[in-house]
Amino acid sequence: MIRYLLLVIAATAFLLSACAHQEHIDYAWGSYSKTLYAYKKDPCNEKMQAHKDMLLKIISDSKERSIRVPPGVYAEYGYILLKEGRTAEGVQYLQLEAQTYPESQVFMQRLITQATTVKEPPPPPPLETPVKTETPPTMVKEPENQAPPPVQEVPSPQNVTAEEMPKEGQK
Amino acid sequence: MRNFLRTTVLLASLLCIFMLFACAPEKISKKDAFPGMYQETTLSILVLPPINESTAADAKEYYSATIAEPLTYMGYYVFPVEVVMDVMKNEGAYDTETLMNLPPQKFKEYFGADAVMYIRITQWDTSYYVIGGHVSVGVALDLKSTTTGAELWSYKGVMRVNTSGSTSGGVGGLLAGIIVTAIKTATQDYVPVARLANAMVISTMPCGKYHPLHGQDQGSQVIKPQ
Repeated sequence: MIRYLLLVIAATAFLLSACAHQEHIDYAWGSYSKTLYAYKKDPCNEKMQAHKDMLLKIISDSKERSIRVPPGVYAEYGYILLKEGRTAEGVQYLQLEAQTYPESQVFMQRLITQATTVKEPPPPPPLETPVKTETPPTMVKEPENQAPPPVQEVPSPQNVTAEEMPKEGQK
Repeated sequence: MRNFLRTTVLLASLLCIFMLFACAPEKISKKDAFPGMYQETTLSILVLPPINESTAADAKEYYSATIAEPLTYMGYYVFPVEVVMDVMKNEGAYDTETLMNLPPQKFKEYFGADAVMYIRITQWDTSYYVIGGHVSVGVALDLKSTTTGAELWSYKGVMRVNTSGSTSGGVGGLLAGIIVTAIKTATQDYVPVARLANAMVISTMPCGKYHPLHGQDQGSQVIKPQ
């Protein structure tokens, strides 16, 4: 009787497990979404530092367990460095992303080009060109364009685009 | 003693049968549900800034913190969500209307992405009643090819977590109950709820390149999308 009971339970467990994922990928995401959410809720330097530490922890944990660093982590850390003006280091992380995930090459190269040619004339065609002509409220945009916000980090890669593009997203 | 055992066995068997039923509402194989995903080899996904249809103004920013992880676990390369959002803001493509006007093909050119994920946040709210309350997060996800512009995958779901302990999630009409004790205390914390909603919806995707089951899950059953 007991044997029968065990059999029924075992069979169910087996069938139920077939419902779930049998195999999965191993990534060391840690508490990524927690630290990011905390920063978004309260965007201060401390929370940013905590998130940066988390990104570095994800990288070191992945290396320790010899698994792939999750998609986007190198790039996110590199981008933060770029915004802080640490261009050389930032570019290295973007390159690491492109090496780990060749799918990201186009975008990483674009970010690197933008970051390293800040002082020069605008690089590749921006994403927005066709939409600019489609969206009517150009008059709203223009004044913003003429007088870009004075307090901006100089070496950030968005400055390139900020100069040529109206800052529509900031409304 | 024998009688007691017999009853136990009977109850256990019934319980097992019940559990199996709870696991299977109206199902369809992944291949039949999302044939486009198997015709194209989608490796990389660009998550666009979510379109917020909820009443919470900050849902867009907060939700985007939770989306990358589950997509990578399904085996896809996911473009760094935070970086993409920032670039989009600077390119003036963060607004809903602007985004909807951009053809998906544009994102192949600019980012090199195989597919773009359009996200609508349909619910993001907290309700209180005298002895409890709940936090709800609802999302509708659409994956489109940047080559053809066609829809590859689409799914939606609502996760409602009762702040006094139990949870129910609705996928394609299904209401499933699970216990989430961790959320008991965190009445206002949407992150775990959003993560549950994501897990529920995203698990219906065919597995991507980095997943060990890539190309072998055509027969996997998912709850039929509405």
